[in-house]
Amino acid sequence: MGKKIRVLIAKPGLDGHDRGAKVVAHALRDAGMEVIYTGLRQTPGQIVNAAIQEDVDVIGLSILSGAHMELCGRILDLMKEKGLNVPIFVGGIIPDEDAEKLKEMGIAGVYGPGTPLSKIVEDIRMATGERK
Amino acid sequence: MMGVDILLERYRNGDIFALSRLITLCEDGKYHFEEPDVENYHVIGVTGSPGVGKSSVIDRLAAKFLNDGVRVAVLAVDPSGPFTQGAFLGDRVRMRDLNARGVYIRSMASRGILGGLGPAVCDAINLLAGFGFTRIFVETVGAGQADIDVMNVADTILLVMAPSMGDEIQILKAGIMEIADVYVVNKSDVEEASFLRGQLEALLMMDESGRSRQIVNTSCVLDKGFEELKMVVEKHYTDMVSSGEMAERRRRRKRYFVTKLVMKEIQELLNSINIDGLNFEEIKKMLCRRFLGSRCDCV
Repeated sequence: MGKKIRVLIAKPGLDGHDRGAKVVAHALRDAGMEVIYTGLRQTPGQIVNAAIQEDVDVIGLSILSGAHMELCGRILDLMKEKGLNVPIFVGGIIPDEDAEKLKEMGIAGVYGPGTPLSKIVEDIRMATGERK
Repeated sequence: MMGVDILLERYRNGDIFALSRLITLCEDGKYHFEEPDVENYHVIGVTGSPGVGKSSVIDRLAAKFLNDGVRVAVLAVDPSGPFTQGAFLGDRVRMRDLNARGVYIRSMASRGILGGLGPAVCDAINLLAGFGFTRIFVETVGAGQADIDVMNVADTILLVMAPSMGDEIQILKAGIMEIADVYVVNKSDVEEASFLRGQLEALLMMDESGRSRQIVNTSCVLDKGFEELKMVVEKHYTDMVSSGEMAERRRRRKRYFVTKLVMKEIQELLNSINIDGLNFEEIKKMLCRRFLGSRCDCV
């Protein structure tokens, strides 16, 4: 069997709304990927540790709390500190101007409400195809 | 992609990235890792039906081991789908505190393998033991009555059960009920748990095999019973070491590991042979030639 795409889906910070994370996880599963779901209220440290232990190709963050700038920045810093280099995608309620800033910081993609699931699947396939 | 030699060197130097990547290579069938030259590690298999609380039991039990200062790792297997081969690996959700306390948790998909485990569980056990983890939990997929492969892999087998999932007829069925070293009556805060406990006690009273099997009540919501469970698991380990049973179980794991590897090779060779118009003997000879190459002396 060839290489499987492994994805970590995580919800950082104080945010209990995980419907979106589960819908995306389900779609990626149905697209043939192995999706590791961390559950709610993870710290940036826990997310980065999990990504290293699970040897994932991609990290997907679901954030609806408004703290996306802070949380993404912290996660990117920790990844740099530990030498983890995988693309991060963020989904949730993210204002357009923040989405641009996140991309400048190094986030690979930002998805708001109404994004077709097929678009997320395609982007992840593209991003991992480039990496391997 | 980094070469295996570099990965192995980094792994030997305690690099967690290298450990994780080596497990991936083993899962993808690109590498295999044999038994390390260490002995003082304990592989604890945790099996049982979906939803009985296997991951939660590991979460609470591992916390007790951590209090003793030992290094804990968890291999958690969940099923791959039959249609797209995708998987939703959700065992980490129940083990949130372990991550923060330095436990290595690796989720694995079963990737089409029946029996309750995945393709690289033995490789991963060997890698983790060689890395210095001394308590290695192996959580099976939510298991059915015939998913008993964990008996070939673990030193101690915990069968986690929950009340209200069937009467004593289910307890009498062969298969998974027979492989347990410890029956964990989880969700024991629920009133019906006493019936389950009674049925298990009756089962063990009838057992004349001489095996030492225990029943432990636990409740994850109340965090009760896990100190007792830890002591029972530890005693099973020391008893097995002194009786020589441990050596037997390690042999069993090696045999299972090697059998799976050889079977996989043969299966792949067989798939590559055009069997049209050949009878069984002819196919066997052709297979043998492919398997052994020039060393084959089939005529």
